[in-house]
Parts: sequence; C-alpha cells; structure tokens
Amino acid sequence: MSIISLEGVTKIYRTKEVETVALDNVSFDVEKGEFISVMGPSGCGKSTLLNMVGLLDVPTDGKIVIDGVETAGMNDARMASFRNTMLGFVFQSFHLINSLNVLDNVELPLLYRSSSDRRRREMAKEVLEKVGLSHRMKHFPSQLSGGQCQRVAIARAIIGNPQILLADEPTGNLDSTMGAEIMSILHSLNQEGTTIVMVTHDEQKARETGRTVRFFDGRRIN
Amino acid sequence: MYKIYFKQAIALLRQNPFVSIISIAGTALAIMMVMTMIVVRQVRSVALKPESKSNRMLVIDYQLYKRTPNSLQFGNLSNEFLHYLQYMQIPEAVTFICTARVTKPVSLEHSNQTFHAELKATDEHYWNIFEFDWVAGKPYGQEEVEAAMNEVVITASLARDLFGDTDPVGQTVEITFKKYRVTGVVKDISPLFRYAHSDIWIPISTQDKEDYLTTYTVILLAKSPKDFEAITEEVRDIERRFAIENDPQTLWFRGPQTKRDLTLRASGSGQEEFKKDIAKQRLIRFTMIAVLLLIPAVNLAGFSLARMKKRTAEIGIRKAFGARRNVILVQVLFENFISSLIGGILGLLLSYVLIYSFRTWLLGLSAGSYIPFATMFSLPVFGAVFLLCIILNLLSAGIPAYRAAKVSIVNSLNRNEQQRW
Repeated sequence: MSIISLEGVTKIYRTKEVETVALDNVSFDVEKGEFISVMGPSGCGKSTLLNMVGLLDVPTDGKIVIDGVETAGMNDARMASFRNTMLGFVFQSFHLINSLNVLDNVELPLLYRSSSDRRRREMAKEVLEKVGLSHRMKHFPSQLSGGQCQRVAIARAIIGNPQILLADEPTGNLDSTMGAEIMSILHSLNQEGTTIVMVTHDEQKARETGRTVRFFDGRRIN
Repeated sequence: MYKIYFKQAIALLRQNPFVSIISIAGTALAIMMVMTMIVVRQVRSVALKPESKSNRMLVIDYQLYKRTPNSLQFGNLSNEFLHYLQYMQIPEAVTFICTARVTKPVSLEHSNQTFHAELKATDEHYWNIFEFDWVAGKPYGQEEVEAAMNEVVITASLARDLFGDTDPVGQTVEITFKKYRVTGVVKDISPLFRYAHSDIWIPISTQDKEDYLTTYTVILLAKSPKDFEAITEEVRDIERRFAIENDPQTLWFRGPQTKRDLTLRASGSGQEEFKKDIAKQRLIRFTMIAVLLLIPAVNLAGFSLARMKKRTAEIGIRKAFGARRNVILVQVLFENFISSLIGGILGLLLSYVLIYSFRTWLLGLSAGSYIPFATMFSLPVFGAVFLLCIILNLLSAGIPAYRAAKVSIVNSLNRNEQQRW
C-alpha cells in the first residue's frame, strides 16, 4: 500500500529573466514501511522533491497523495497540521534553534499540538534517551558536536510519531563514524515502522536502504 | 507554549545585549513620556480621600457675564451670581468654596509668632462632600454658617505649630486679626487635592466680602455620574431663566466640568465654543500620545525587522514542524511584547522619577509637598502601561511579525535573505 504517491509532479521556478525546471513530470510511489534513498548529482531536484513531499513547497503541476490524502488545495492550517502529525524532517545542516536548549528543540513539534507541558517534557526525554542524548538535555546546540546535533534533530523529527521521516542528506555534514551512528538510528526507526525517504550523495548509504530512486536534471531515471 | 516563548524571548535579549538595551531604552523613553502625561492627569483627578467622591463631582469655577450684548465680563465665579446655583434640584449636594489667593496671617492671642496659612471659606455642605480624617472635634454646621459664627477648622500641623498639640478644640486663634474658635482639627491634606486642600477653613458667611483676592468655586455632587447630563442641563436652565429675568443681561457658567476634564484646561466664551475646545484639547493630547508612540515605534520596527531577518531559518523550522502562520505571528508579537513590557515598567518608573523631580512644574506643587502614594500607584496607571506596551508592540512588531508569518518555508530554511520581507 502506497503511503506516498507522486503523479506527474513538476516544479518550475520562475523569475523575470529565467525559468528553471527543478522537477519534470516525476511519478513514483513509496510503500508504507519502506526505506528509500533518492540519489543524483547536485541540482538534479532531489531536495525539491523532498520539499514537495514534505509540503514545504507546492508543485507547479502534478498530484501528491500522502496516506490517501491529496495535498493540493490544502490551506495553511491543514497543511501545517498535516506536517505536524504525519511528517518528520531531518536536514543536512540540522536546523536546530540556537536560542533553545536540546529539550526545548526536541519539544518543538509538540508545541503545535494540544499537549500538556508535563507530557511534552516526558516525551522529549524519552526520545532523547532513544537517540542516546539524555545527558545533554540542558545543553544548547552550540555546545554539541555535529553528530549530537543530528541526533537531536532526529529526536525532534520523531517525537510526534510521524509515519514518514524525510531526511535530506542527514549524514552529509558528519564524519563516517557519526554518519554510521545516524544510519543505525534511521534503520531502527524504519524497523519500528516509520517510512523513510532519504536524499543522499553517498552510494554506500544508499545501498543500505531498501530501494534507490535516481534523478538527473529534474527527471527520474530509474 | 508561552513559557517556551518567554524563555526564548529572554535568550534572544541576551544574545545581542547592545541591540536589546537600545530597544528597551527606546521603549522605556517613549513610555516614560506618555506615562508622565497620563500619571500627571491621573494624579490630578484621582478619586481618593478626601476627594473620594470626585468621580461624582462637577465643578463650576468660571463665568461669562454680559451686561449688554456688547459688554463682556469673564473670569472667576463672582459672589453675586452664586445664589443662582444654590437651590439646584438634581445634585445630591451643592457647596460653595471661597479660596483665598494669598496666605493669611494666623496667630494666637497676645502672641508675637505669626504663621501664614492657606484659607478656604466654605458652607456646611462642604464637609459632607469631602471626607476628611478628623483628629479632634468636628466641622462647623448649618447653624454656625447661618449665624456667621467665627469658628474654624485647622490642620494637625498648624495646630501643632500654634498650640503645640493636635487637640486645641475650643481655643481661639486670630486670623487676619479676627478671633475664631477652633471647632475641629483634620489631618493635613496634599495640595494635589485642589478643592479639599487648605490649612484653615472658616464659614463662608464670615468671609470678608470686600476681599477681592479670593476665587469662588461651586461643587455639584451628583447622585451618580449618570446624572451629569441632567445637572448640566439644569445649569443651562438657570442661565436661560437669568436671561429672561434680566434681559438684556446674560450669564454663562463654564461647564460644569468633571475633575478629569478640568485637567484639559479648556476655555471658550460660550457652551459651544467650550465644548469644541474640550474636543480640541482631547485631540491634541491624543495626537501627542500617538506621535510620542509612533516615532519610537518606527525605529523599534527597524530593530524588530533586523532581528526577524536573523531568525529567518528558525521561522522556516517552526513552520516545517507544524506552526501555522498565525502561531508565528503570535509568537513574534509575544516575544516582542516581553521586551516592550520590560521597557514599559522601566518607563513607568522613570516617569515617577520625572514627576517627583519636576512636581513644581508638572503638578503645580511646592518643593516640599508630598504626592500621596496611592495617587501614582493605581490600577488605571498600571492598566495604561500595559495597554501602551501592547500598542507599541503592535506598532513596532506588527509588520515584522506579519512578514515573518508569510515567509516561504523553503526560502527560510535556505536562509535566503534575498526574499522580500
């Protein structure tokens, strides 16, 4: 059963002078519980694809269906709620909020749900335990290593129990040991049932996933 | 959620102390200027003992009299027209106050020591309208006023100066070389309470009618502020009756005004002109407050916008994890409100310092005068600070917050500051 379905998705960025086709008529499905990697050279549209699936951006054309719900025409509130409950994001540059400590960063998605302070704290502590960072809860991002930051980012992405985890080069800024640690966490999440779509440049990391979708010049080539 | 917003607001203030200090100082100065205006007005019109009924009081202190259509006399209320107001029906009470514009010499019999005291001559109703704290004795009553008995009420400090204690009831003092028997002693009154303040009070019937260095005031005590309109109309009726009975003479009593409106110092030669001037004075005050808030708000908006630009990525992150546009809007306004509130509290404290330091100029008080604590620290004052902080916050952070809420997630995450803010 497809949890993500893309049908003829096109994304064109237009300025006064130039028109750039970032995605050109892309179609593919991701099954529930799959762990897929998206590969291709820089500028081929991998991240744009992830943005479309993550409802961070809207396609110029085509249809995106997530968990049976067509995303076109969703208003801001519906889209925000969908992102909050269905999707989790892990970014290459972590995107943690520097003015918040680890615990507050991890709690972030729960702030936008009806959840008590106490419950939020408990859940944040649980996920930090899971990624092995319970001893760094009061630290700020600037006091952590890259690998620790990415683990915090993963904890934040999974605190709301999303069905889909979208990871944009999650190991791109890390050394091989830390990259392996992050992949290990992603695998265990996948084994627990989370569908993962991961953009990567790394062939070895891609091979660790169940399937690889390759892109070139905005088109899917396999 | 607001706890985290609060923590973040404090963390952001700490991140860039220089900008935070400038921003808070800007807010504090703006609030200080506006609060000085508001607190001065509040202090002048506050309903506290002995003028605790001032929210039910209307004041007439000025008249315009035309003997012929071309001859005009205007100025303080004159004694000769007071009786027209004496038997008004709608007010609960009417009192006449005659205030000496110069201090009077007060001394004990056969004493060389003379004190100079402020004097008010009043009728018996005065003591029911104002609520004094009695240290000893009681006020003079209707009989004493009607019989023009030389009786006097004095303040505790004057009693101490004259007699060495605060219970000289029954003893005699000389006021402008006339003997008066002390009937009561009251606690000292701050000069802020314009109609209650004095050092000595004597029956109005004993006041020297030839003393031109006096001013008359009529206080009309309404049963409720709802009666103000009806009382005003009754005053207009009196004027109409006067015009009919004394044709071609006409008489106009300014107002009557509430104690609060008196602080506007409106003028005019006739009811319409006077009403227009009140509206004009209100508009001037409103404009001054608006300008005093708008100028710093524009500057603070620049700071807010710069700070928001630095937080572009954060806004994108929050939206990616489920924050709706209005949530971002509320968060930015809330965070900015924290710094506005810090500035507001600081501004209020500065306004107190300013008012106290310049009380002679701002409140017309003498250098040694005290300002009762309760006149400055009141709920309306704190409410006004809170409201001003909200207004300043909306003016300075409204547009940055709106733009932050509208920003595209992808551009934010990519920290694309070229996007239109």
